[in-house]
Amino acid sequence: MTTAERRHSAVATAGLTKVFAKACALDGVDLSVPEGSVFGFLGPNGAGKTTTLRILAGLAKPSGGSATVFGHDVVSGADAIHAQLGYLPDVPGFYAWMTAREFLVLSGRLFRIPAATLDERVDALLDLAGLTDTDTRVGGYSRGMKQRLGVAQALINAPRILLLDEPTSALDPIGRREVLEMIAGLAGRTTVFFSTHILADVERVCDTVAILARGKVVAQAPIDELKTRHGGGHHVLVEVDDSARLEASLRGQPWLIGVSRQGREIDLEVTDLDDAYRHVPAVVAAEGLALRRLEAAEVSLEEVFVDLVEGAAPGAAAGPASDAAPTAAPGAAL
Amino acid sequence: MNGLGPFLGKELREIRKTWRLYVLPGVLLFLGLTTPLLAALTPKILKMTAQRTPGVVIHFPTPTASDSYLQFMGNLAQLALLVIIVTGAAAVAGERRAGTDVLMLTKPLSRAGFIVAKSISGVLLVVVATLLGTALCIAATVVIFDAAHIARFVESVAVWLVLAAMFATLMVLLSAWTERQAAAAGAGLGVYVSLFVLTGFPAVRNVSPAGLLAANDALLKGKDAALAMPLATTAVLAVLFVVAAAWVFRRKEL
Repeated sequence: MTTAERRHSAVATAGLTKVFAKACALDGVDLSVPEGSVFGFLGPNGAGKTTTLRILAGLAKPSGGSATVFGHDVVSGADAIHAQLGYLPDVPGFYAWMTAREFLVLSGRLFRIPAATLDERVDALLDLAGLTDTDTRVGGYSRGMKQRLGVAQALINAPRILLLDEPTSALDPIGRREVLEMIAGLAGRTTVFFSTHILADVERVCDTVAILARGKVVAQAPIDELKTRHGGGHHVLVEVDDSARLEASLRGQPWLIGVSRQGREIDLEVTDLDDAYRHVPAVVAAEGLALRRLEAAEVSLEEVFVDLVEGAAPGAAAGPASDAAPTAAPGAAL
Repeated sequence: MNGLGPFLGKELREIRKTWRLYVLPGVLLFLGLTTPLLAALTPKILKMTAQRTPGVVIHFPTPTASDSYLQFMGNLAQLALLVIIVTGAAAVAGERRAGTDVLMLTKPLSRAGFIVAKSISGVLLVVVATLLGTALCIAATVVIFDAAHIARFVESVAVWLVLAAMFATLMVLLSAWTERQAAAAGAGLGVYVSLFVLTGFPAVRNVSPAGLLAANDALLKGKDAALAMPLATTAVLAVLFVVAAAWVFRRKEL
């Protein structure tokens, strides 16, 4: 990554390494998070997601490599980063004797937010967190309430970057939806970097993801690109009354990469979906067949995730997948 | 020192709203009230006990205000310092255990600001609690005995406060260093016992905080006590402990 690229990235890491007494938590992590993006940081438990977030938040120091947030080094420029940062750890700790309002006011005062602005912002955030009507001290909150307050306190300074560690893990479905909608609403204005292993959340709000396995980034790309790249290209499912005839007729088409047939269903791997939508019905009509189904078959993020993470496991047949050397999703015709 | 003001405000509100309000001030107010009473009643109680045992005769001098103040100073040097050590051990370790430090220190609050706020609030608590306990002790002593020796007593308390402030900052350092309340309390007790042992070595006592531990008796009896060096070293150590705590805490991973 060039210096200019690092400067334009909200988060950039190069060869980031973190070694604890007996384990290597991060092993040369290279990341580039575009400013304004909603970036999903995926990985199984123990992959190093929380360690990465702690380093970016200035809570832990790297053992090697570098990490910057808006061009500020995470070690030497921590003060500059904290002024623009909203951070939510996986299990946020609050002063049990405070109310939610008191905690938000304290947080705002640390950012030197003027009193009038702070009052308005605290009201808005309490409303967002669904904590407006409670005067209970935080010590009496459920985990979900604490998580919502955690999101609210991370937003108190209208941060330029939000680092969220498993932000939806303790929430009920409604709270989860609200937090995800809030995250999606920040896209373009605030860079959101959030770690999770809930793939549905990532598919819902993220534009770009990185997958971390055993301390290494095994893939980083926009979600669609990742699916295409690691799912073995575009797939179209076709169902007709005589699939053998259609298969024979389609072979040799320039937009067709591969064909596999199972009963009446044909799985076509194609170079371009639009080409397939144009030409398949024409061939079906020319053969006098009845077209019962024609739809794109997308590989799921879960399949990509499992494939990449298992590929990174020790003893896997292939080495860790990377953007430069993509592997096929299970079952994909290559 | 980013964020010192708001975080110090939080520390002071925390004292008002949690158990911290009751422990040290409670102990010192209790001592302030009961010490003069015990000073007055103890000889009478012992005499009554002795009268029940045939052949035993105990002669006690009539208790005075000076006895009351002397006992109060003894309690400060022992019980109050132990309370400061045990409660002060939670200063940083408590935040580490609860994870509250993480949300604070990822905002514009420097680690030095965090430590200085902890130190200032700890010392303020000691000062205010001591003033309350001392005022109550003087009031009770005046009522029970007389108004003698108040100036000497206040001087003794002031000297003890310097030592207590040093222990308050020492506990911030130990709490930041060990990150565990029990370990910090244990280390603090070790320092306390060592200081008591050092009072037996004049060469060390005359230049160290140990001199302040041994000074109460002389001050209350109006004897000259060479306290300039012990006071200076104790004050310097108190500041050095804050600086060391900030340095140690800045190097910690949270």
